[in-house]
Amino acid sequence: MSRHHTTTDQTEPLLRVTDLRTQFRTDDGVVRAVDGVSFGLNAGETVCLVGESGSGKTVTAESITRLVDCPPGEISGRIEFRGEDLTAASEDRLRSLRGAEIAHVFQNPQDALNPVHTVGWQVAEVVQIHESVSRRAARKRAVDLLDRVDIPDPAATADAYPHELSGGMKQRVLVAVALAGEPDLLIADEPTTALDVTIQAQILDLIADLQAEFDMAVLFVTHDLGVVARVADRVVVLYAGKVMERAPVDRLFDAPAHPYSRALLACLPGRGESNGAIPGNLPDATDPPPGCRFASRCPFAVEDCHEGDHPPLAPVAEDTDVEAGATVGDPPAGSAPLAASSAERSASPDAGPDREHVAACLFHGEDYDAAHLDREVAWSAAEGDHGE
Amino acid sequence: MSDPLLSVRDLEKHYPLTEGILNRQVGSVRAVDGVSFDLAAGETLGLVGESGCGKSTAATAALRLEEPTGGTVLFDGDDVTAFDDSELKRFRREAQLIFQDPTSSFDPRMSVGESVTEALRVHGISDRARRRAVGEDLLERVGLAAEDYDRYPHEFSGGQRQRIAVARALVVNPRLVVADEPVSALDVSVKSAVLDLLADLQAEFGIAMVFISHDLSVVREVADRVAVMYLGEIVEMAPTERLFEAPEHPYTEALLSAIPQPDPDAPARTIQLSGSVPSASDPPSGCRFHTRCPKAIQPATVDLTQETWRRVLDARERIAGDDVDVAAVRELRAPAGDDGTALGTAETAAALREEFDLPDPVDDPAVETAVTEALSALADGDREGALAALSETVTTPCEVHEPTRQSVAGSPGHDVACHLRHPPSGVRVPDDERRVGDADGPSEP
Amino acid sequence: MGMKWYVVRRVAWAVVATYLAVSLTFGLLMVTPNAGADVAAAQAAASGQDYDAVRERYLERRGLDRPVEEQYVDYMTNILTLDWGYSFSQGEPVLAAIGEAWVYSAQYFVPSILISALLGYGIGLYSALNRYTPTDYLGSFVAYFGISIPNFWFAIVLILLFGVVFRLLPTFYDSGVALLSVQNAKQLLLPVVVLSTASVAGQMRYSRAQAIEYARSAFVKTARAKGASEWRVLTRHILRVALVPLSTILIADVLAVLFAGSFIIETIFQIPGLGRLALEAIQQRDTPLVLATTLIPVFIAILGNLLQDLAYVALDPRIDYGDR
Repeated sequence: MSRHHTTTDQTEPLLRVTDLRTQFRTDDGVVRAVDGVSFGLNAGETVCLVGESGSGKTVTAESITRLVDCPPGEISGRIEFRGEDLTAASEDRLRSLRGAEIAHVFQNPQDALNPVHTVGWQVAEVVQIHESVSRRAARKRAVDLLDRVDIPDPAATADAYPHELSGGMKQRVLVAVALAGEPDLLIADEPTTALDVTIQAQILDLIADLQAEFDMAVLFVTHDLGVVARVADRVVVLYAGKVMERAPVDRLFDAPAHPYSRALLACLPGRGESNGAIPGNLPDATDPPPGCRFASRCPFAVEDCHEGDHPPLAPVAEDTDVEAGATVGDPPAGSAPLAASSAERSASPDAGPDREHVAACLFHGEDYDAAHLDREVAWSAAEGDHGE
Repeated sequence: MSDPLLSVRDLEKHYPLTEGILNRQVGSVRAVDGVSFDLAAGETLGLVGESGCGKSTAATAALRLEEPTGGTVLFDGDDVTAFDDSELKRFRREAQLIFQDPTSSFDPRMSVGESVTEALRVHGISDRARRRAVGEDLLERVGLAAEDYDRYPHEFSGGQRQRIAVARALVVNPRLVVADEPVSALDVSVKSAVLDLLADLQAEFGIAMVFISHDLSVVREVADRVAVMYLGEIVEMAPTERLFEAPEHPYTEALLSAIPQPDPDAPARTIQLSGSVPSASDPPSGCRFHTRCPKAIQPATVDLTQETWRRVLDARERIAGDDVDVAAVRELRAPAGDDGTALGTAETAAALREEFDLPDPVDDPAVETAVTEALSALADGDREGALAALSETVTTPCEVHEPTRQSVAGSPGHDVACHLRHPPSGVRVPDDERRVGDADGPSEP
Repeated sequence: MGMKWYVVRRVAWAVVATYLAVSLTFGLLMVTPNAGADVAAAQAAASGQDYDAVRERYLERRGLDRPVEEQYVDYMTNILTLDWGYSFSQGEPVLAAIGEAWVYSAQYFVPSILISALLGYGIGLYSALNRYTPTDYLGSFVAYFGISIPNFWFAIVLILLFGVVFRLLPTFYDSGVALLSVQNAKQLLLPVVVLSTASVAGQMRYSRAQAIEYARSAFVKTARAKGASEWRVLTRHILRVALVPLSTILIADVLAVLFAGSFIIETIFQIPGLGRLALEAIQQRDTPLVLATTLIPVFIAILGNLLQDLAYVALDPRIDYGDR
C-alpha cells in the first residue's frame, strides 16, 4: 500500500482534486457538469460536497475513480490520490483501487444491489475481486462484515435476496460492501436521502463509527445541511459546477462568506429570515453566461460580477462576520490564488490547511469590500424570471 | 371553539390479504387503524411519521379517495362516508389534494392553463373566457405570469410546477387542502418559497390544511398542530411548538432526536430504536410501539437498567419472530474453518447470548433464570420452549394494556397514548419518567 | 415451499393446455369435410361404383359413423397411444411421415437457433457496452438489414450468387447425402444463414436494449465501484439479470422461425422437412397430416412456455409464486 506514498510531507492530503472538469458531449452541446473544482481531503477526515441538484456534486464524486461513463464524459484536471494522478491512471489501475482503497456508497439502496444475487454473495464479491481467497473464506468474511454493520442474524441474512430486506438494511449491506476492501477513502453519495429520519440517523452513526474504527476519510455528498452539520469536518459548497466556498464546518455555519452559501443557510427552517428562497434558476450548463455563475440570482451582484471568468477563490478574512461587518483587513500575500490549493493554503499560513476558508466571490477579493455583503437586501419571494 | 371543519373519528382503512385461487381472505393490512382528529377552518395540522405508518392513507381515506373501512368523517357537520355521488362531487371541490411529485401529476400534453382550470370545466363552468380569466389570475397569485397559461409543464422547473399544482388546487375555492409531501421533491432553495406560498394563500383564503410530511423540520415551519403516527395510529398530538419542545411519547422523542440539526455544535443525541417497524398485518398487542420502545415499562417484579431490559425484550422479540438462525449464529461464533456444528448446548447458548448482546449474567436473578433457560432451549432448537421460559418474567405491561390517547396535564390541546404518561393501575412508572402533574401517582381521568 | 407448489401448478396447467389444444383439433376435425372419403368415393364413382355407398363404407371402416363422444374417446386414445392416423398424400401413417421429415428440419433449424442466440446476444451485449463506437453502428446496421430484408428474396439472391455465379454451393438440397458429411454441411449453409439473419437481428436489438437498460442501473454502478472488471460486470451482473427477459424472446423467436421461416426455407431450398410436409398436406387437403403438423408447433409452444416459466423460477428470486 505504501508504495504509492511518494511523499514524506506530513500535510500532503490523501486526496487532492485540482481544477477538475468533467463534461459530457450531448446533442445539445457540451454540458459542463463540473467546471474547475478543487479541494483536498486528509486521511481520516470528512469533507462534505454540498449543493442542489445540478451543482455537479455527484459527477465530482463519480469522476474520482472514473465511474462516470466515458464517453460521453470527459475528465480533465488532476485527481491525486496519495500523490498518484488518477486522471492519468489506466482502467486496470483504477479497478484495483475501486472497492479496495476507494469505496462508494450510493444514494438509493433500493436499486444499488443486484436483485438476483444474495446479499452475502454481493459482499463476498468485493473480497473475491481483490484477494485470491476461497469462496468459503470470502463468505465467512462477508458474514463478519454484515455482523460489523449491525445486521441481526448476519449468517442467515447473507443468504437473503435484496428484496427481502428493508431499505435501511439494504443500505447497511451496501456499507458492508464498501467496507469489505478496508478502504482509506469512502465516497458516500447521498447515502441517507432515500431513508426515513430514524434510519438516516442509524446509518450516519454507523458510518461515523466505522470511520473512526478504520481511520477512513469520507467524502460525503449531500444536499442536506443538517447532515453536513452532523458529519463534516470541512465543507465544499458547489453551484453550477463551480466551487463557491470551502470552509471548516463551523466557519460555514457561523460565518458563511459567499452570498450563495448565505442564501442556502437562510433557506433552513428556523434560521435567518423566514423567507429564504433564492429567486431565479440555475444557469444553462451548456452555455453558462460570463462572470460568476451565481450572479444572475445574487442580490449583491454588481456589474463586474457579470464579466470575465468565474471569480477566483479568495481567502475569507477571519473577522468577516455576518454581524460584525468587516474589512478585508490585511489581505494575505498571493493575490490570485486560482488553481492550486497549495497556493491558497500558503496564502493563509497561520490558519493551516484544515482551517482554510475561501470563497469565489469578488467581494472577498482585493478590490472590493466584503462588508458590502452584509447590507440588507430583499430576497424576492417569487422565483422571479422563469424560463432560462 | 366553534365546530371543526373536518372531524375524523376512528377512521380505519384495512386492506384485505388474500390467498389462493379463490382469493380467500386470510387477514388484513391495517394501514389506518382508528385515527381521530379535528381540524378547524384556517388551521394546519401536520401529519408525520415514517414511511408506511399510514399517514397518506389516512388522508386519502378521509377524503374518500379510497373508501374507508370504518369510522366517520364529518365535513362541516355532514357525514362524508354517507355522501351520495352528487354530494361527493361537491365535497371533492371543497377538499383538494396536492401531491409530492409535481412532474407526474400533470398531463404533459395539456397546457398549464388547461390543467389548472380543468376542475372548473368538470364542475360545469363552460365559459372558456371566464375559465381563462380565473386561471390567469391564479397563476399570478402563485407567483407566475398570466402568459404562462399557454405554456406546457415541461417548460417549468420543479418549484414552478409545484406552484402550478397549488394554483390547480385553489381554482375551485376549496375550504380544505390535503398536501401530501408537497415539498419533498424540491431543492432547499425553492422549498421554503413554496411553503411560504402555501402559508400566504392559506391565510388569505382561510383554508384548512392537512400537511403530510416525513420531514419534521418542514412541519415545524407550517403546522399549527402536529399529529404523530405510528403503525396506523396517532400516538401523540400537540400544538407544534409544544410537540417539538416537550414531546411526551417515546416515539416522538426518538423521531425528533433523529433530525440532523443544521448546527455543527449541536450534540448528536439520537435515540436508537431497536428492530424495525412491525408488519401492519399483524400489529403488536397493547401499545404498538412496545417492540421498539426504549422506555418499555418493566413489570413490578423486575429491576434492571432500562438498556438491559430493552435488550432482553429485543431477544424475546427476535425469538418470537423466528428471526434468529441458531445454526448461523453457531457458524459466525465458531473459529474460522469450522461451521460450528460441534458446539454443545452450553457453548451455543453463550454464542446466542452474545448475539443478543445480553450481559452475563443479567442483573435481575429472576430474569437471568428465564434467559438461561430460554437460551438453552433455543440452542437445542426448541423455540417454543424458549418462548415459554421467557413468557413468565419477561413481559412488559405495555404489551398487555392498549393505551388510549389522553390529554397531558398542564398542556392544553396536547394528548398522548402512552402508559408512561397515563399508567394503568398497578403499573409502576420509573421515577425519572414522572411528570410534575402526576407526582401523586397514576391519575385516572 | 411456495416454489414447489408453483412448479406443480405450472406443469398441471401445461397438461390442461395440451388437452384443450388436442380437443380443439378434434372439434375442427369433426366440422371439416372428410377429404379422404371424398377422394375414395370419387375414385370409386369413376370406376362405376355408387358414390354414396363407397363413401359410407369408407367412413364405416374407419369408425367415422359412430356417435361423436365415442369418436372423441377414440381420438384421444389414439393421440395418447401415438396412433395419429393415416396420411393418404404420403401413403404412410402420419407419425411415420413426421418421423422422416423432422430430421431434415432439425438439421438447419438447431444450428440456426444456436447461432442466432449466441451471435445475437453476443453482438447485442458488445454493442451495449461499446455504445457510440463504429462497431456499435455496424451492429445496428446489420440488425436493420436483417430485419428489413425479406427471407425469400435473400435466399434466392444467395442461391444465385453462391450456387449459380460462383458455383461454390449446391442450388438445392439433396436428401440422398449422408448426414455427417462435408457435402451436407455445404448444402445446409445457405438455409442456416438465411434463417439466422432475421432472428440474429431481433435478438441483437433486444439484448442491446436490455443490456443498456441494466448497464445504466445503480447495481451495475455498485459493481463497477467494487472494482469488478467489465467482463465480470457483463456476465455476473448485466447478463445474469437480463437472462430473465431474454429467455422470453428466445422462446418467441424459436416459434416464429418454426411457423413462418420453415415453410419458405424448405420450399425454396427443397428440403423435405416439416414445413414442406405441412405445405403439401394443406395443398392436398390431407386432414390427419394437417392436424398433426399443427399440433406439433402447439406442443412445442406449450412446452416452451413451461420451460420459460420454470427458467424464471431459477433465474429470478423476486418472483412471488403466491400470486401467479
